[in-house]
Amino acid sequence: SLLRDAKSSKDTTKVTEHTTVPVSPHLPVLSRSEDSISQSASGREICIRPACQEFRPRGGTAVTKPECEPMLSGQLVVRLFSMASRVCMSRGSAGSGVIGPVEAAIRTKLEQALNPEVLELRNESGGHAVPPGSETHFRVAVVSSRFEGLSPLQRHRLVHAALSEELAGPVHALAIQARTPAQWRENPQLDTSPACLGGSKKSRT
Amino acid sequence: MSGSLGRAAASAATALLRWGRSAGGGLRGPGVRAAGSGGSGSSEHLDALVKKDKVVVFLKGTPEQPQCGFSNAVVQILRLHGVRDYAAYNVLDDPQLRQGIKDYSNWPTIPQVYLNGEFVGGCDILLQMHQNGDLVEELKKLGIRSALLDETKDQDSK
Repeated sequence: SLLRDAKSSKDTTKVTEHTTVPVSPHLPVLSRSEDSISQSASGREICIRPACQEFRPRGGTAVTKPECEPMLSGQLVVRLFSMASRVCMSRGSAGSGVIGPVEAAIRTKLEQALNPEVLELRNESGGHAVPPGSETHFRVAVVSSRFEGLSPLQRHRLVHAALSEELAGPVHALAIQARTPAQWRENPQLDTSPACLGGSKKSRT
Repeated sequence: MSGSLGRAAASAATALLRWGRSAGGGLRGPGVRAAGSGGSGSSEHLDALVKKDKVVVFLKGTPEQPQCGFSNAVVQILRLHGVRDYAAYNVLDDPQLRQGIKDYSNWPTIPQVYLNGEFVGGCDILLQMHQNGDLVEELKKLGIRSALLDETKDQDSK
């Protein structure tokens, strides 16, 4: 277990730095009952807003809101992503439901290069600071026996090579899950990406 | 051209962030950047950057204020492991750095993670390493003890 409940009792002074802000109606509250690992105050709102991901190091030691820490450990890093991203992620390609030319090209090229057993592709542009209908941010799960014996880095590079044109062009972000068929069977799921934090458009304070 | 080099020098200097450490040391002075060589995006410069520290990350934003969800994921993972002393470079501050590191690593996206001067991958790969325990091992090889090992120990001793 990667629980940090030992720390939360020490951090009472720091809790005031992050007063519990009302969770926006868009943000689901993480259900404690799902979480067998966390044992901190149940039913408490977990602030997963981007603002809560900012922290102020003190004397070189990073501090965070105590409630957030258990949620970041282990498997919950992934869960944090999927909860946060579901907020602004629209179903279908960039909200419009239409498969654009870039998405089609990505699919075709990956099919040709890797002969995948499974290819799940999602346009995640709708969750980012880009206009509707954009094809800039994608997540792909590629399942191919061609990945056997290759390190994650090598696998990702194969995917990049197949999509070099798109990556040099419109595609700004590409989240990759590159698995062998056996690995995919263990966890057949296209994850979701972390919430956008504004990118270069976010104004600096 | 010299005007833009001056700006490049200044912005490269601000791009260098020592988080958890006092700043200064290792910063190149403006005079080093001659035209056509030694720019903030050059391979010599980047080679030096990735080798200067055990853990080097190229982010959008800073560890205190990430400006990209994927970059933030890298920051959070390093925090989970108790890695405080790492070099973080904000590519949003420096377009030359932003393009240069993509060329240097032959990797099209940010964030990028280097351990011991070697390119490890982006956010997906770091997350994978975190989940399967490889990150703890890699940090151990660098002489960094992951905070998660101490957590496990605390649990075992209860």
